[in-house]
Amino acid sequence: MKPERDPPPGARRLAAWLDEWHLERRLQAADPDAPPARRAPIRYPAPRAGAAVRAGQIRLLPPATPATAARPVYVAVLAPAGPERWQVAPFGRFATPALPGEYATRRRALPLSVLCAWNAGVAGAALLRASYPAGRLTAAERRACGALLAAAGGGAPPPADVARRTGPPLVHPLDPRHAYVEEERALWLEIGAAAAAPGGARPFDELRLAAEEPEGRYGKKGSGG
Amino acid sequence: MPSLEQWQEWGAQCAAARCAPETRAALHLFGWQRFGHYARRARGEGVAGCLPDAAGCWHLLEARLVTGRSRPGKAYKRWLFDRTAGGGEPLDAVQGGASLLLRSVVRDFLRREAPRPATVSLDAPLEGVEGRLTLADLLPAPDATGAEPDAPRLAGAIARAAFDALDVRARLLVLAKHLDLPLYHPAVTAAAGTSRSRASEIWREAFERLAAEARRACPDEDAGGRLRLCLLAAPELARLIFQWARAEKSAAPVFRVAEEQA
Repeated sequence: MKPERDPPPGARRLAAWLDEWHLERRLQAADPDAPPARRAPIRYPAPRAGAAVRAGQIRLLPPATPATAARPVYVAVLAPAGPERWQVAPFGRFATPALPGEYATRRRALPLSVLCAWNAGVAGAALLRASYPAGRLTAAERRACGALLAAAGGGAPPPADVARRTGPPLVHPLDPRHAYVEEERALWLEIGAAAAAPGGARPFDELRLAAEEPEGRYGKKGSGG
Repeated sequence: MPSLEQWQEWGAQCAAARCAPETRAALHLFGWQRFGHYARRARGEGVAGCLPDAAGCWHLLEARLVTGRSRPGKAYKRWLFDRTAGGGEPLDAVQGGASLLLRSVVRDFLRREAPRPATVSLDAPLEGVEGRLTLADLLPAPDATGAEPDAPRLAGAIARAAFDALDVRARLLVLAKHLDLPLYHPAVTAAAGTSRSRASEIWREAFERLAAEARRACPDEDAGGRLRLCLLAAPELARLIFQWARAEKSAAPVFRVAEEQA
């Protein structure tokens, strides 16, 4: 009989995450009528009234790419990253942090359970102005995100109270979290592609109005990107 | 099923409870059918007995997705209705979006109502994970690598053998990951001449090759010992590939993307 071993740190959390991952895989295969993710990017919605972008906001991205149409993707606006650009970090799709760069917020709202600092990226102001304000980061969440970003950049490890709420290290090359990482990173590839596409940043309310005109201003159907 | 007008009525109200009785009934029925479908597919028919009733299913959706008490807390409703701007039938877009929302609510419900046992088995093969991996494999103890004095030499030999066995495509994908690039980046998949879905498989196969070389080099070593060697050999393999790539023409686009993202 094998001797009892203490589970390594993070084992319980990793087991919980793997359970969610496995459930997600089964549920994806069970979709009765969810439309397949679109291959081509669609347009951003028109900017919303009173939608000034500020650091500390939580915003829900519009369903303008396959990733953002497949689930509501909430992002935390962290800091300006240049003219018309903001550094943002997405919230994850699971309730359990998968990686050392993910932080369990302990919020009741399912879509804001885990903040993914490791997947922070730069979003254009046009996209964020078209997103929906959905709340604000707490001071603790801002501090935690800052600490995780600093650690990822080679700085000091996060303080113990932050590290306690993060996921376990990713060591094994065949760990299913590698697949998860690639899926989550696709968010930024799609956002980049949408912004670069001809007409990609054109407000879709404007296009919808144009399509209703007898002589569409944007030419034949489908040319609007 | 709710009509588009009924979905819109719900969109304008703060909850189904404030909608007309017919609308409320249609939403509850939709939620209950989808909830049951997902739950049974994920956990089997046995789960049916612990599912909420129709009103409970819908309440879970409204309660778990709201992010605050004020109107912005229900931003998910605006997301749902803006899906109609992507083309196609508006009712399909809303219904499909609502199904996706319910899917995440069901996952959360099953996670909480049918949680894992309190004890975690380190050595049991993980459900739904390829290769009979265990938690102990995925979370080796911090001191588990490099304990044996001969381990670095053996790991180097294993990495060299794996490197020799990998084709250019696999080397480029390992290089991309080593440079912290997304495997699905169009420039990476183009350089490797592969598709997004295949890229992950090729990357995985590269490390299965490493494991095979470890088995060949150390046939008498137990699984734990071979894993320790593989974890030592993996960064060495990446280092060998990095050295090779510096003089390899086909790797230039991968380095270019890495520079752009730095």
